[in-house]
Amino acid sequence: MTPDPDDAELIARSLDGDENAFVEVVRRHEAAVGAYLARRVGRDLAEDLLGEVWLAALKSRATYDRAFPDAGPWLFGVAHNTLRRHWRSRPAEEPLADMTGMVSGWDPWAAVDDRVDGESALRRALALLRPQQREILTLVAWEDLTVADAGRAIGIPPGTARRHLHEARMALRNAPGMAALAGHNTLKEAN
Amino acid sequence: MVDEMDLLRDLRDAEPVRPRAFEEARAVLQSAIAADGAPETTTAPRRRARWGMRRTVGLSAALVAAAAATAVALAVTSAPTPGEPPAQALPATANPILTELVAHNTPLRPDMPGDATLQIRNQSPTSDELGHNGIGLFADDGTYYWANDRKALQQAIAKDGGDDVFKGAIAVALYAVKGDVDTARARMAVANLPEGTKPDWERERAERLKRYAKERGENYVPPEPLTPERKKQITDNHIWSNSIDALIAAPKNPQVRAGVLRIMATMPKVEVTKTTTAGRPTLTLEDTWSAGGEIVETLIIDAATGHPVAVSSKAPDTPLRTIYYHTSRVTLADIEAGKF
Repeated sequence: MTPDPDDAELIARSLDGDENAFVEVVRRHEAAVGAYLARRVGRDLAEDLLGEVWLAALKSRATYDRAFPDAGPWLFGVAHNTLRRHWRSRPAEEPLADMTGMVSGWDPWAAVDDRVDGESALRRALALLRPQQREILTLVAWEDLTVADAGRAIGIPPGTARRHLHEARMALRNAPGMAALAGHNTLKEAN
Repeated sequence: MVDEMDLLRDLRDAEPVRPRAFEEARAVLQSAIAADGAPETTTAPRRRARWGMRRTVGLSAALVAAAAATAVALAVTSAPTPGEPPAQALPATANPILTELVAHNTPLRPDMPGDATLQIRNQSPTSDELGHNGIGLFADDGTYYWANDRKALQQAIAKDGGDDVFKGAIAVALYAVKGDVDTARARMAVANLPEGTKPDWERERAERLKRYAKERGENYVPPEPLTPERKKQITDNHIWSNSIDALIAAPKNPQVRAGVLRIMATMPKVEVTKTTTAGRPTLTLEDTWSAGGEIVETLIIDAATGHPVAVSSKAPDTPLRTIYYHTSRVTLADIEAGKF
């Protein structure tokens, strides 16, 4: 029995005219990419943006590096860029929550703010991270990517990604209130 | 022991995307594929390349030399020599509107500032705001760069991430300015292929279908052989697609425009009508072909200059998609330095 073709092979086929091949790639990763978007902008907007992500991926698939059989990190990267474009083009009158001065204009982090309201210490600490640190951190913690794949998703080398992750973790660990939060959770677990 | 990663993981739950949304997003994708990348045997494969950029890893000295040679060839072709014979007349059956436009735009030596054309494609006829189609950069030597955004474009230039995908079509358009238009058409039909390539579409199609059937565990059913009429339709479609590629890739070069218009003027299936686009006099060229239903593609050009304004396509069960082109002359050095 022939094994299923990997994503790189399917992308090659789609460039060769196989109309179903790229749709198959999307089917494999849609749940993960949908969850990635939903965690950052909420379900409704994630549903609106998902089609844009696939179109952007379709248009740029010729640049896909076929040395990587798994297209997941690449698709996270396309989703990441779609979010950047979305936030960059957002009307100015739309409020940017409470961290306007802390993050750059394209940063989608403001939307996450609402979801993590109950964890204010963690939220504040996350808001203070640099965007790339935060993206690496959340790709690893939320999307279960390896550090190298998280780096690949946002176009930075594995070594840099590891450094960002290390810095981000140190920043979170040392942020005001984080020690207490960790202790609270430990108590909850103990009970 | 709970660490910061555990705390973060506790926050990752979000309302999941609904199944219907996945289906709708896939439908958007499938519509785009149907409109953009119809089967290989019925549309020019290079059309897809317009949206992307093939990675050129490690440009060898030989490739650099070849690229330089092509650049020289393009430059030489685009510089008219004094005493050169005039353009061969178009046949009497040529489209009169396009013939007149060519006559009124006698191609001159391109006098263009900069060394490249920056092109933003979007859904607006009037605004050159960056949309979802990215930015294209066409160097005057025919090298094509593409990126999602400005920063990525800078990086593409810095890494020699260009592509020579349109050089063949540009060269044929330049030949068509004064050369025999039948020869130009024949060359344009294969302008997207490496020189000297003689594609056997039917054999390639059969091999592809065999491969797919094997992979899916199905029996291979040979397709019906193509009729002469169908073969001509396919060839004409390649001429149409490659001509548009040339025009889009060198919109500021009057000779390329003239060459493309001469070819288009001799394609009887291409309908030309006088139109207005966002208050600007334009000509709309329309070609129709069959590929699992009727596909209509239109090229809108400026009525006075032949500059490309927009390309739209309509496939069965898909909405009309129109891409507008906004171009400006730039230098590669400025783009690489982020001055744009």
